[in-house]
Amino acid sequence: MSTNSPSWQTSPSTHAASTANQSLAGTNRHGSRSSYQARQAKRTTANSQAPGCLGKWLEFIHRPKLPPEDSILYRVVSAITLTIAVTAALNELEWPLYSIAIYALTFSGYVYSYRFRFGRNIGMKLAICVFMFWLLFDFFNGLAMSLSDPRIPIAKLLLFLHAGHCFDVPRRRDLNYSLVVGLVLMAFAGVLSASLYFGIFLSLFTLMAAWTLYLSNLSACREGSWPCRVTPLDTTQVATANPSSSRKMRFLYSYHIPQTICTLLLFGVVIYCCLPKYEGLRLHTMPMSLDLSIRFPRLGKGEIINPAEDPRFPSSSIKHSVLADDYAGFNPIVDLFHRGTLSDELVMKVRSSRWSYYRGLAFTYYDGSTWQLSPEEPVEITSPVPPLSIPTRYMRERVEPTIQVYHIERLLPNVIFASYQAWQLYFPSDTVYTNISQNLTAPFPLEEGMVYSVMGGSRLHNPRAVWTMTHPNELNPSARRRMTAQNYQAGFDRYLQLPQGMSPRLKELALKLTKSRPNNYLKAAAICLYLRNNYAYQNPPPPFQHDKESTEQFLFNQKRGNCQQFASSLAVLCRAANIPSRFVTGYLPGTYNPITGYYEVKGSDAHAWVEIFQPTIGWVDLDATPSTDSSSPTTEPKDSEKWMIGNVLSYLKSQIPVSLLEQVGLFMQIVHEKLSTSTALTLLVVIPLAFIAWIAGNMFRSKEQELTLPSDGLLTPWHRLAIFASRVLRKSVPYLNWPKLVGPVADPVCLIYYDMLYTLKQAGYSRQPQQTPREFAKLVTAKHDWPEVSRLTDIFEIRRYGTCNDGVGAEPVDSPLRQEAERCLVELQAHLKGKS
Amino acid sequence: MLKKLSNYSTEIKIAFLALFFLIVGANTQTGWLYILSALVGSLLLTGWVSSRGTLKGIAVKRLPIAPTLKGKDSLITISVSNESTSDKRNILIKESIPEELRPELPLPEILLPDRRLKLVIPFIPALSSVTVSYTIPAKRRGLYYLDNICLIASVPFGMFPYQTSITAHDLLEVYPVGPQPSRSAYCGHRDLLEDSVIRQNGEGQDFYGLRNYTTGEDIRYIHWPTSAKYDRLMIRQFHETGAPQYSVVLCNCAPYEVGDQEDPGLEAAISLAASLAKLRCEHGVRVSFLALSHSAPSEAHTTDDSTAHSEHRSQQAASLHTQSGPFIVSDESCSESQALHLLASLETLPETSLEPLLQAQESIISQQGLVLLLTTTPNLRPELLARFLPNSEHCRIVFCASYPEQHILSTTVMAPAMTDYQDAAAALSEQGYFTIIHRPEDNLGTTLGQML
Repeated sequence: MSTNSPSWQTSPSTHAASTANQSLAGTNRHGSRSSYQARQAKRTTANSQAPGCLGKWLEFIHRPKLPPEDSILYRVVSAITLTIAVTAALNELEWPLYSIAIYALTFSGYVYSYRFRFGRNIGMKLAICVFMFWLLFDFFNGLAMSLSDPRIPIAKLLLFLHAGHCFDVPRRRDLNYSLVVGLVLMAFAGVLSASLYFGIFLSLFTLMAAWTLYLSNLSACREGSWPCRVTPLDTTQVATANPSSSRKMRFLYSYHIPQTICTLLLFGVVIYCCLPKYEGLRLHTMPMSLDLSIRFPRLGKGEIINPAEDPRFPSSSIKHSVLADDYAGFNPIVDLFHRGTLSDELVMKVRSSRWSYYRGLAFTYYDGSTWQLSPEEPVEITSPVPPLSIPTRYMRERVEPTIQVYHIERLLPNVIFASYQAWQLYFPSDTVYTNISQNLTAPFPLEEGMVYSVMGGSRLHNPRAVWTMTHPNELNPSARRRMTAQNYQAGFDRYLQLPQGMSPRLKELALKLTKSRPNNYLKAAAICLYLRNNYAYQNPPPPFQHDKESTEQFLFNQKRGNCQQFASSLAVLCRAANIPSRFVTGYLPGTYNPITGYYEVKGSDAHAWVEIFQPTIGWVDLDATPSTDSSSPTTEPKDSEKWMIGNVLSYLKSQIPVSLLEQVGLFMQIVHEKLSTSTALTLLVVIPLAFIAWIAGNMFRSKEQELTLPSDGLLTPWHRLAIFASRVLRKSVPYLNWPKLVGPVADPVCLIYYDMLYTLKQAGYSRQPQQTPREFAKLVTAKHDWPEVSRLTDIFEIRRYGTCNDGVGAEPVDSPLRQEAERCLVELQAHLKGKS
Repeated sequence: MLKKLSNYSTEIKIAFLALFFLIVGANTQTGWLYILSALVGSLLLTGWVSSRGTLKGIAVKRLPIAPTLKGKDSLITISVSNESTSDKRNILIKESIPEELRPELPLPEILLPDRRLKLVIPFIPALSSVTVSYTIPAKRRGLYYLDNICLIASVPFGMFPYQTSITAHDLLEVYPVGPQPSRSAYCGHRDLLEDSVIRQNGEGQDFYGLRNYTTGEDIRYIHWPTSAKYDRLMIRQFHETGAPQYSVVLCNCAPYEVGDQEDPGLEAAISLAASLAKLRCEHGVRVSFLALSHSAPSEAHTTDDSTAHSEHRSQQAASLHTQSGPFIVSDESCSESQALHLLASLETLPETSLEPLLQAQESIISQQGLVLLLTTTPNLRPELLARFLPNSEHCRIVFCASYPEQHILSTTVMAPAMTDYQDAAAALSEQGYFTIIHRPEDNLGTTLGQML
């Protein structure tokens, strides 16, 4: 067991004797310490005589090495740190069988490494070597079996490598390597983790890793040190300097554990907030799903299966077809008069390389009050091994690759949510379905716990890029031909469909808004902007008449509505302006959790928006709902979100209950409306500042003055808070190395004396804590002819300890003592100025 | 730059690990990797800040080192004060020990490339001091200057070791050890010695001058008025008229390169001289030493003042580079420590002119007394020998060299071309005036007795 006490050996000969004793002790246990020392001596003196590479290799093999680590505490702490990391990784992987094996190997490996740390252990090393070759083979085999998801083979490799390495950790350096392995395992577990529970493992690991590093540093200091004797010169000074040493908290104080941990966490938070938050670097080999072998029973052939469907109504013909707290947009038919009551229950967590909406279904047919799916049969896409390749109808130009991993948190319809355009799908099924609107559906509902990944693309809405992509002069010949031919008309009739008997006002409005706009995108953007600026969001919407066309009611009568009214109006106006468009339902990106890195999507994030077709680009999505941040479902992140601090603040803001925010807003509104500026300033600024000043005043209050406070029974809560804060701050003053203020600073004579101390300190004479005022004055006057120092010290002592000290109360301004003290201080300052 | 970076190889690896986590976190959008990256970065930053803060308020000074004899252990003590208000932990001290005294370190050279002694101070409470004492075997005679003390702190995690060098020069004196003279030979001269002691302590002393007091001298001879005036102890020095004296001439030059190794011949000569110095202290026999040195005589004295040491070193270095030397160093005091200090400072000089030594020798021989010539050079030509030995009755010659006796005789005393001196040399040898020793351990006691 290592101890912190110094080695009290006084000579090298004693050191040698101690080493010899250790040798004897080592001989009794496994008889290897002496043989180890003999081997080391041989290595130091003998050089390899073999020529060439063999000689160098032998020289490398027989190079001198650091002595084995003897500290059991260090080994135990290191083993615990590793165990935490292994547990975190195994917790994410859910490998019960492997867990037992790995724990057993870890424990026995550490015991073996300690007991045989002096031995050569050639047999064990050979066994580890063979084991590692087998692991490597198994890793490559696993990699070949699942090229798309290398994480499982990597996890297996890392965990068993760690288990094997535990049998060969004789030295400090090996234990440090184990710590690095633990760190990698923690990183691996962090990649897999989608919950905040991982924070418990990370906190424990950080604390234990810090302790391990501390012990490692102790061991490194001892390595190769020369025996010496460390003797305290004056133990009385030690006792007075560290009064906490006699307390129960001595361990915490003397080991600086709180200070180190606080510093570590503080720096960690600062660094974390200052980190840039880049969007995904889009390495395409990482976005995988765990355990794709899960198969669910096939329940359909592409048709929508909504578990929330109300069993009283068949889904094909009924508008109110879902239960109360679910979104009605994931049905074959979307009723614009019924959205459903959306709950704040977590629906899914999405790890996405960029901020974007999660597209669910696109609807093509509009009958005036409902949107319906395209009537064609879904196309089956099958692949025995992942991924499933989704045929893309349009070019991938100017599409930003997006990788998304979806963790389903509650039962959802069989709609596979994805980015704007999905190319590859890693899904726990060998079959999915798609249709002409690129809706992706699974053969079964999305169960809780299901994980799938989508590689696809998102289109950034950059007006300059869109202009470049749509202006005839900027296009290549084939694109220009496609655009001029307007050849989409033939296949896009369904996206221009409008119900019979549409009001001509709609057509007029659409033409008016899109007049003089050169292309579809700009026309649709103009309509979108018009809707966002002139209509208000309201959920639930005002009552609509079911016998009238809903868009017309929204645009010309109600002028308020939810996302479905806005999206439907945009799609209808676009179609009226001869722009192919479709109604899309899905989810908003949700709240980005900067800790886990997941977007947390709630039921209330269900949303509807529109896709319009722009020749040479393809389908472009637009969102006309004014309550959303942007008119584009896929945008560049805001400047504040490019740094972690912005994301953290946004997340914290999102965690504050809306009711509280509303109350604060109401309070601010009252303050703004009812109170004058000066009163508001008084309330919001002066009073808090006065409170802080009060605490500060209490902080430097002397103990004598504190005793004069009323008893606890008479204290107000504010008073108690102030006293508590002052005690905490006063105790933390020496801890934070703030300037010390001692004594009753309210006494002006004492203040003058402290001014003198400060002045002398500036001149290079600092009063040591163990010096009495008189000793200090004597020291100063012995070197300089400054009689005012002695005089002022006398006055201070009279005031502080003499008969005229009344304990409390300020000295009158015209007090002779005070005047004398001031005169002394002025003279001393004049002396010092003259000297300088 | 690269060398400086190589000192932080561990920290650079950890920083790359943090950067790797950040890149992977950005690629996979894993928030935990951002946190892990920040924690690793925080670990580095905490290590950097803490290691720098540890050495604040630490003051180090070296306590005076007592001279030691060759073969014994030398105790070196360093005082470390913690003037800050926080406790300090795990402070390392690295001491550069001169190559000649460096002990066998606990780890091989490849693991301790700087070959410095590493001392660990586990704990220094706030506002207190500790002393760190360690011993090293004084394997070799000489005067050794201990350089600055290097303080290293790398708490709490062993990262970014911060080191600072504090000036703490001091002189470590390792005195030679002389043999005890052979009893039978020594007793024959007891009367002479006792006679000289009586003369020194009784009448017949004339006041010669004042000099600094050195430890071990008789306090009866301290001149108190002058000591009070100069605020240091001064001691009276006397002429001893008519008292027999010994003049030890050390011819410490060699025609060969000694290098870093000890010259056995010189060591034997110095051992004999050290015995004489001890005799002088015990019996009050007047013995003066003459030798050659690289440095000027005034610089070879020791002092406890570290500033003076540094000035001394610089002067010595300057004299080695600017003045050609050799210089004559001599000691006529009654202090054993001063004589041993002189002997400890002697080194084998490369073959050089013996003219300064001859001139000094001639002045000594002009006085009454016995001259002991301890020489390490075999090339003491007959004509030089003639100058050394104008009066053979009062001279003794000891050749301290590892050469064969025949070689020494043929090259020096028995030079064939110088037949006039052959008889004289033979006579000297027959009368016991001429001795050759090969190694320091060669019956030095008998040799010393014969010399006396």
